[in-house]
Amino acid sequence: MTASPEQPLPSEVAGAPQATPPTAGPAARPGALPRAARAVGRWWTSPVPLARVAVLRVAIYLFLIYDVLALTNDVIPHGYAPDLYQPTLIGRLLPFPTPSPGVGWLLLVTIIVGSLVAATGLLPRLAGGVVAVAYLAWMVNSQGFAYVSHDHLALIIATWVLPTVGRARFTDLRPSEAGGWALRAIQVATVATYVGSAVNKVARTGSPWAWANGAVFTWAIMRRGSELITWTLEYPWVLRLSQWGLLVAEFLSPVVFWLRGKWLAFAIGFFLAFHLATYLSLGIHFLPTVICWAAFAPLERLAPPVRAVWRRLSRRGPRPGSATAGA
Amino acid sequence: MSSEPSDEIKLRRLPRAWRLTATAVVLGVLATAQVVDTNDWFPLGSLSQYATARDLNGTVRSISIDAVDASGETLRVPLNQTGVGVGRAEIEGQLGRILDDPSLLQSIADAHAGLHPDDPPYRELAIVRSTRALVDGRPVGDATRETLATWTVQP
Repeated sequence: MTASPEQPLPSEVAGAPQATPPTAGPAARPGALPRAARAVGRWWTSPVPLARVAVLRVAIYLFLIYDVLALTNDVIPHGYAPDLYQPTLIGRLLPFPTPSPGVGWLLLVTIIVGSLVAATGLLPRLAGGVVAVAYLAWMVNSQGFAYVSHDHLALIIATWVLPTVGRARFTDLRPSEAGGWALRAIQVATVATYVGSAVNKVARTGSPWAWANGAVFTWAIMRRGSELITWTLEYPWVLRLSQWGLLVAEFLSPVVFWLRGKWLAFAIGFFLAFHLATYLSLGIHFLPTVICWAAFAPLERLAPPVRAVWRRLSRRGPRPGSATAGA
Repeated sequence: MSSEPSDEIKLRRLPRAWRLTATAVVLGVLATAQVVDTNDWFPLGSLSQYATARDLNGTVRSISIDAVDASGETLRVPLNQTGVGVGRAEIEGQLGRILDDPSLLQSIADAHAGLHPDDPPYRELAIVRSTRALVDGRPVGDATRETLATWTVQP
């Protein structure tokens, strides 16, 4: 950590580095198809500064610790009811252990220790790989009791792709295609959480409007609504309108790949506000998806302040790891 | 180690190829899962929370489990992470299986005893379904409650 990234960053690195997503146009000329395929490949590997990966890695791995302690903290308790375990496909295919309190504790410790190491950037492939496997086993247990939620898609993808970047320092502003692919994968998984759920609503009901014209919000509010929201039960048209709003927003979510600057921030803010609203009204927060929206931000700008904190701390007496943990 | 922003680090052919191939496979599985509507392919399964359309003139049903504990008190079993580990949706997701074999409720009593060894143990468990009607998307009348299955806890 001796480089000095405090000089202004070149705008193509710091500002709006994302390429416009490729549009699949008609193959009018010979060679158009290979060209389109190459454009798709370039979009998927649009380089990003390695420092951005380093900062996102801190956010993701520290969030994982919060996740296993506070959000998916049913794994150890699940161990007391193994007869109710109904594993999904990979839980049946892969040799993940049957739920028990001991297995749960082992996974918990593995994930926490591995995440702390991976967040610092040490042993990114090994620590990240161990976390990816242990966290998958953890989630297969958490989601293996006949109910599967879908707020963890992007976070699980993040644990798979982040180790593939390898070394990424907080001071390294070099654009990297490997880092670009990892971030793109997290971005797409985040957006896929919305657009995929819209597709699933249509596929499940068999029509584009049956879901939005139904009573799903009423159903949800009657089952788990907070006092903030139950008054809306008297106004079903408000809820139906909100259902249409949500379905349209979910279908339009891929638009974020064409947005820049404040418009991108506005679009992301819309989805964060939606999650805040469902949290206040239903207790459903989708934080594991929310954290992955960070993959859209120029996070490398956070690196210099982190380094300043690190310098101050190391002058008082070095405490290894505190710089990264503070990001 | 100085790191000039201009030195772009490119992917070589093979690392690029496996990344793009894996991307295509994962997206293909995820997209297919939405259309065939299966949760079984988790984490690439259907994104199905609240995806079921609800009838504006149907009913809203909810499952709970009542317990009589060793002190004779009747109470609502806390179906959540810290209560008995298993959530309400997880009971509802395998309700048919439990009704076919109510002895599975023993797991709920075992989990409660394991997680709260100082509380009086459960003696009797009952799965209760509460149902309330909707008319034009508005709840009407009171909820009705019916007991679907009971289980006497084995010591």
